[in-house]
Amino acid sequence: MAALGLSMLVSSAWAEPIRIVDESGYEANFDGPVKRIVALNRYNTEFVRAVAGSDAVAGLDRDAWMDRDYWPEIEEARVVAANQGQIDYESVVAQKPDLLIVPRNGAWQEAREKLAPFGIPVVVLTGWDVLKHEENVSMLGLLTGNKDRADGLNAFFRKHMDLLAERVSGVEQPKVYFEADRENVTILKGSGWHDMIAAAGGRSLFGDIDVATLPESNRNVNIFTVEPEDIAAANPDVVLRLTPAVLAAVPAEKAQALVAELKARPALADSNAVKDGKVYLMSYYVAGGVSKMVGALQLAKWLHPDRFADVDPDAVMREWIEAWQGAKYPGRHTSSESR
Amino acid sequence: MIVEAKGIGVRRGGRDILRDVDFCVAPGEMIALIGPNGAGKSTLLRSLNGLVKLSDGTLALAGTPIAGMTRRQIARVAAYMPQQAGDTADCSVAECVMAGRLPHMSGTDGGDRRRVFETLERLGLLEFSERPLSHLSGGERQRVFLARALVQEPRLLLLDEPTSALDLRHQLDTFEHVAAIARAEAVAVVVAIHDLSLALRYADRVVMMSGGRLVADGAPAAVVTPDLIRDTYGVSASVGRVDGHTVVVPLRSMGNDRPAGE
Amino acid sequence: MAAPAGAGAADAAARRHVRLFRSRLLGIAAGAIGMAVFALWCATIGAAGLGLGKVAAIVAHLLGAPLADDLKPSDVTVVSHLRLPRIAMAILGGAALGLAGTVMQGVTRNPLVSPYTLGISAAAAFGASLAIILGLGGLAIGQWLIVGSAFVLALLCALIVFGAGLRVGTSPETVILTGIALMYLFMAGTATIQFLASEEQLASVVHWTFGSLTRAGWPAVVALAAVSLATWPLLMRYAWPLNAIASGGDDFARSLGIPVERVRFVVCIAAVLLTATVISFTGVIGFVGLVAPHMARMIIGTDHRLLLPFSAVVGAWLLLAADAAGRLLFAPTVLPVGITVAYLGVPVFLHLVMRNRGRASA
Repeated sequence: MAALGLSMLVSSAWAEPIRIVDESGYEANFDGPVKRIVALNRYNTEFVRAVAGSDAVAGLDRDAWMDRDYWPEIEEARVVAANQGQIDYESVVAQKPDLLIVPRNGAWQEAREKLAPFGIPVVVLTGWDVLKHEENVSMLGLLTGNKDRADGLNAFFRKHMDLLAERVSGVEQPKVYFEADRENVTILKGSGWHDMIAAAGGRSLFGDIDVATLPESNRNVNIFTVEPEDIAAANPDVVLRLTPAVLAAVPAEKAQALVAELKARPALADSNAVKDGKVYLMSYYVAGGVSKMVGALQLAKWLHPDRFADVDPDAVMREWIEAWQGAKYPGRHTSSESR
Repeated sequence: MIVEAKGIGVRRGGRDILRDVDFCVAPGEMIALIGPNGAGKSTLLRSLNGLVKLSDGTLALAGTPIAGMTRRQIARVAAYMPQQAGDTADCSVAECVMAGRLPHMSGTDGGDRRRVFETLERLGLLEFSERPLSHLSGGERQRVFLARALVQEPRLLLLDEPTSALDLRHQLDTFEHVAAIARAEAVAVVVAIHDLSLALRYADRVVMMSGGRLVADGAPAAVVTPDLIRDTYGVSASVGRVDGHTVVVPLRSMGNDRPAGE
Repeated sequence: MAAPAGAGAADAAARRHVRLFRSRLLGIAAGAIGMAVFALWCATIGAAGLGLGKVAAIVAHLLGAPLADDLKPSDVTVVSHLRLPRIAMAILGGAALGLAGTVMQGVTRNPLVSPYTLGISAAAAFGASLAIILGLGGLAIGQWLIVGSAFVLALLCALIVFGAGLRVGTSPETVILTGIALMYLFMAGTATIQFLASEEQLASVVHWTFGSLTRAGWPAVVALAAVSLATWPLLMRYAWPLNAIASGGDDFARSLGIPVERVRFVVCIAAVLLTATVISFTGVIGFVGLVAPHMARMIIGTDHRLLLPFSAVVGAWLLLAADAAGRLLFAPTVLPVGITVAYLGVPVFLHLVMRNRGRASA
């Protein structure tokens, strides 16, 4: 017995080879846990930091790095790409990473070819794909030897998603007009935001539209331009508007001004949402936090306050930002009339 | 004979542009080709060096049938000056004229270069030799094109309305040059021209065309007569003498009953 | 300055002409050497911190010398795998595009013609997008399939342009008009593909369309070198016919014995091959084919014997400069060369247009 336990102890102290197969079917093998990762695309970088800490982020792209409040500990020297499509390979090599991860809409084929002679594998991992959230996090945990932390993050995610699913089952779904950061631009079925609204027990206002019937010029499910009359005709019960994706919260006056502007719009002035005072603002960071889990929670609380009285989405966001990302949570990014 | 054309015709799209033309040119002869617009002057000119393919008839250049000659061989015999071309590159005078040596170019630049500059000197163009064409006046440019045709060492010069765009003086100068060359080097010259007085003055023979056919071929005085002018051009004109030169003065257009050209 | 009448005047002018020609030849050589030096400097740009000395040592090592102590194997790989192919592609690609633009402008007598306006670039982009949306990009040889598809479509476009020409007559106008029509057609095709594409494919298509020298590796360089070797001597042999066609017009050139249709056909095929090869590997790089010939003409004159090699030199300079600018201006962000070349090229081009308009009325 003791010998078995001893041998188990010994073998776990030895680095075990790690083998993963990524989204593109590519097989990568490592002698041991990966210590330095270049993670392109903010969602990828976030997950690496959550699972393995800032020091594991050997490189990131400028688009992410530009939000200095979110990544204060990461110096400019670690910027190795403009974005996931424009990568400076010499910078990548200079950072001596063990691995490069890129989402599937990044330049991974090119990266693989360019970095092969340097022995740097390129793994396709799409952090922004909420459907793969748990799978991605687990893979990162496996790669970095931080399986426990990865499991913890997945549990964090699962716990709240399960809670949501349980509490919104059978509920009457209010109609939610979701506006991205521009006037009259909303989303359709197929967009991750649509799923977020559904998870929160709401119904996306234009969620019934069949994309195939739309004109070619206006078919992007994430950026769908809608006529103001259509909004008025659909009469939303709730208005949810997203504010820019930076960590710093929108200043109070700006938030109030935005809410006032929304209420004053002819398309919305007579809607249920305005009459009942259900006009809400949420930043992209909150909405997208932990693969939109936090967004769903916050929206659920607004849609069904009685069912979520005991849930504090702000605290969940704080936990995500502080415990998992190691950044400073600057306070709430959500506003509504009543606050 | 430099040119011997028998019964040549050109047909395009069912239409006869040229019909049944007999035409000869001897070395040193200057022939003026006159006639209304659309009479076929340009087509005749361009068929003489093979630019336009003949539908009927035979044509021989310096004794050799044109059908058996390569384009390059033709180019060594006949030089062609088209009407002012539209958009062309702005090359220097020397470069432009040098192109005329192409049919003869052997690879060693020396002989070609010498001939080019000798010709430039003859035509008073030496001072412009490195200047771009666009810096020259119309008359100077015409001399450049003439030089270009001359360095081809042609036995036949085909000029398509070389003086239409030139002022009085340059019209005269151009014809003086051409006439001198024809005389001095026994080069045959065929000039398509609108100005009947100039034709009378410089040509050894005048050929009048109308509707694709030859209407008259002979001494200038015999061809350029008020009757023929009226029949062919539909214009009533007076032919007289001024200071020893014969000139044509158009008097009045004849109206619609005698359409000119067709 | 009237030339003195006398036996020696023609000879003097002839000698002056030869001197001018030789000095221009020297200018071309100087330009080429300058470009080589510039290329060497460009080889030092990059995050790896390898200066001229180290780069030279690495090149020596690649040619057989032992590796110096202060250099790591990864340094060698950076130079041999990331920097050198990029530089080689800039030189060969810029030269090819410059040359293609010059011969096309000469043979159509139109200074606004370039491989772009023949629709070739748009066709190549369409070909690549087609391969991407058909999922070929994901296959093992995917990248080669995309390159091949771009190349084939570019050739197809050229075939249509010249096929139309053969039926209607290869006048410059026909060639240009058909080319522009096809350009619009292929651009619409690419836009359609972008609408139908999934987000991932769309990113791939857009990424490809931005002309970039990063993608190209040594196989691309070798392919382009091979095509260049096949076409450049051919084009040089047509230098005089091009002079005649460009300066005298079609009829005049024919009257000199030049087979104008054949010249136009061969020259355009060569230009298409060169352009298609470059663009298939780099994506769409505009402007070099349009501006390099003009810049070369301004400096070296219109004689194609000089203009052809010099436009290659100018084209190489342009691409090298655009690549260097893209790397240095916003370091470490790298601006793709397809973008920077437009920033460099547009002011030059506008300047030329203004100059030409001033001169047009003579």
